[in-house]
Amino acid sequence: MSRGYALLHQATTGLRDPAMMDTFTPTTVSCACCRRAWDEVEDPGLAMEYQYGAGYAFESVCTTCYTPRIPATAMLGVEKLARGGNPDGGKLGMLAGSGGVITPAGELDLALPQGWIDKFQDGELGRLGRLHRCGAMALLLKLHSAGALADSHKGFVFIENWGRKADTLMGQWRASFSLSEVWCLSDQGAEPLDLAAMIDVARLVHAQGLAKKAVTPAFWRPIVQAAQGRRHDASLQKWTEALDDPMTVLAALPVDPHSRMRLTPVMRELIPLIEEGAL
Amino acid sequence: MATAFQLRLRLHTPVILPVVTPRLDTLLAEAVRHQRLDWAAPVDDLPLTWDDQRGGYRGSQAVFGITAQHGLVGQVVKLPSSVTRLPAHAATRRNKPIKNIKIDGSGTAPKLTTHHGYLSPYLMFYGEGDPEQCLKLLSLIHHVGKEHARGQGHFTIEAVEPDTDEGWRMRPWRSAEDHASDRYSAVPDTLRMGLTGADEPVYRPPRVLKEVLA
Ligand SMILES: [Zn+2]
Repeated sequence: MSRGYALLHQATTGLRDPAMMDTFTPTTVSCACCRRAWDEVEDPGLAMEYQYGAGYAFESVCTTCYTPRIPATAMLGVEKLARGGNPDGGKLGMLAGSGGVITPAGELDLALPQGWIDKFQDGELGRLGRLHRCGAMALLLKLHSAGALADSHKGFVFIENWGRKADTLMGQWRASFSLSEVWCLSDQGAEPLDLAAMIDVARLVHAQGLAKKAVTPAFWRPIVQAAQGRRHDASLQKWTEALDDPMTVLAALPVDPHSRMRLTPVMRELIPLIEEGAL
Repeated sequence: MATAFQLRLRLHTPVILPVVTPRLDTLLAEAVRHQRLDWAAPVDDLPLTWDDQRGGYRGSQAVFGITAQHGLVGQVVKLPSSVTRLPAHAATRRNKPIKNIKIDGSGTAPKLTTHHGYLSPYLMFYGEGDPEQCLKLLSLIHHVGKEHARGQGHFTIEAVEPDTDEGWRMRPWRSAEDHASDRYSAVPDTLRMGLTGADEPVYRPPRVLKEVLA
């Protein structure tokens, strides 16, 4: 369970400058965010102070859970100039709408829009070429194709969206160990996705000449509705008639109905990669 | 004399899967604790065969049983999360203590936590051991999975039948070869094998398994 936190801690060691960290010895039982006991966290017995908002009590969180809140001036770069001209470092927890991957080797790659890449290109990650202009899932598959996830039994972390609520994100932070069960982390929590099955499905519909249709919600509607408990036999029948070999596609679909409900958005990520020959 | 069996439960409300899918041994251990009214003492006498070589009870994880008419359905279950914590929540708000609680929330509305629920006609467990004892124990509990105290994962016992396919193998094992099934590929994970003990590297089935019943 702790592997995901350990990977984040390893990937962001440079970010936690001991001189800048106001750590103290906690008096609570466990971290208020990940609920791990203080002797189980990566920096045992060290806590940071966190306040949800004005008027709320102060809580003690572990240094790993606090990490998305630290200005990462050296690692990322300057987000904006604050009043008075002081530079404000970019924070991992403020990259709403962007994703990232931590490889089994403990290296962080970020999937960002162009604007942020321009801003952060001189930071440590930018110089190492670890800022990527693509979606989070495309980044994960890019790293997979490059062999960076070969040691997946050691775990990797897939951040689908850093979001705005770092406490929810860090509270359910976890590592994945296989493409057939990728935990998609966001500020909404953690949900597993059978990405291996999704890749098989994408390859099959692409091979059957349905690449254009398979990125539309209308194409997957009969399957998605059945997964939601609104099965319509006539439209399922029509769907099977539209495919050359419907049985192989049906057999390749993820078993988990919640994965099936994500068919359209995931196909929108995967099919362009197959067309580029990147998958 | 231990026999291999399939335990079929009829499912009435969606199951919210914890990170680790419930298993027959963990469910029976919960029932034993109910029987003894003791939730702290270790449980080491389940009516299941202990596999000494593989280091675990011969009891499978939950398998969703579907029929030709009714498949496995994903439901979004929203349950209030912070209402039960209101006193604690109020205590954390130092400047603006909550003065009154209205039905539609108070100063702050109750937050709803979204859970992924799974509903199918049946829920199955496979095991090897004493099926009669297992039934007796399971009659003490009526829910499985997360939020069971709020009615999720409600089941009634449907039937127990002999099993010929070593269905008990559908659970974590130390070696990938112990998953003799060609129905799924095993996922590496770090879990404890028994009811107690330390986490160790294992290979387990995917969280969601389903099986078509005639
Ligand atoms: Zn923590």
